[in-house]
Amino acid sequence: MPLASRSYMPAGGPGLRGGGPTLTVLVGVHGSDRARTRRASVTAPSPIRGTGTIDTGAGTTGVDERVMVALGVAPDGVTRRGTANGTKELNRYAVTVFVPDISLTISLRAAVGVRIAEQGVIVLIGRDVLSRMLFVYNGRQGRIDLAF
Amino acid sequence: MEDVRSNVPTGGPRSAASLRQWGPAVDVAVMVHRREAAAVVAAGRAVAPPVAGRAIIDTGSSTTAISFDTAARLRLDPVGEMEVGTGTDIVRAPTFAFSIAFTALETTLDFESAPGLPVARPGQVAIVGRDVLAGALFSYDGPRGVASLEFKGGPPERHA
Repeated sequence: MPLASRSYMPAGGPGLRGGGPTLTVLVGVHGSDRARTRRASVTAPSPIRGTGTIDTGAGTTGVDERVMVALGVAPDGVTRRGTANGTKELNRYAVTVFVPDISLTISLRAAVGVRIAEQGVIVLIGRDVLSRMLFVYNGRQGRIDLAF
Repeated sequence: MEDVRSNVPTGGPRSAASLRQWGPAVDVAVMVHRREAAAVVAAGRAVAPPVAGRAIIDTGSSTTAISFDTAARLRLDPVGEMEVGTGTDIVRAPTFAFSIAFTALETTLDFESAPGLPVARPGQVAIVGRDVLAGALFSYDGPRGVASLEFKGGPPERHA
């Protein structure tokens, strides 16, 4: 089982408490969309790099809507989700999220579109992904461990 | 303080599916801030009873929050307001002073000014954010459907 650890130093950064359990991510089109663009002899857009947060409060992984627009990916439906700000209707997308630090590729058919770029992140990694992982959050040491 | 540890109930039979659906939730009682409660009692008035329910442990939230419904049941007045990132957007939320008792951990924490949010899920009275997790060891085992929360060496002394 691959294991990855990351420590968050408060000095020079927000630390684990301020910035959350973040990882560098690359967001790209889903494999099915990539195949479609290949058949149409169109170049698939390059993945977009940003920050993802591991979010145990999110049942479904969320991707910033503007990233999906930049990738040219249209929503394939709408879903209702309970959030900390009440129940919302959110766009649903097929998307691939790559986490380079741990060489993890996550292929999602039903991520939800959210507006989170103002918070400095483009992906909220939710419990649909965490259902395949062991995640340990050590607040006192400012460190996380992931096994998957 | 000795280490305290709790396996986190997930709102039903423990399974990977229930942990995924309901999230890592811990039993809590939200109450009027202990300092305010003492003042109310000293003045000969009745304090609103604690509101028991579940709190979701949310590593995506920088701050602990309570539901609007809980704040109303405790008859709390706002003490300020703050911007909160909710996962779908950023909102301006009123803040309240309150205390949260973590039932299985035999630990009570005081919050001087933490937000209230329109939490939609029935039975959920609070969100436990990274301000509390800063003093905790939290593990989430998705395949086994088990989560645990531990305040190693005791919880942090102060909160928002």
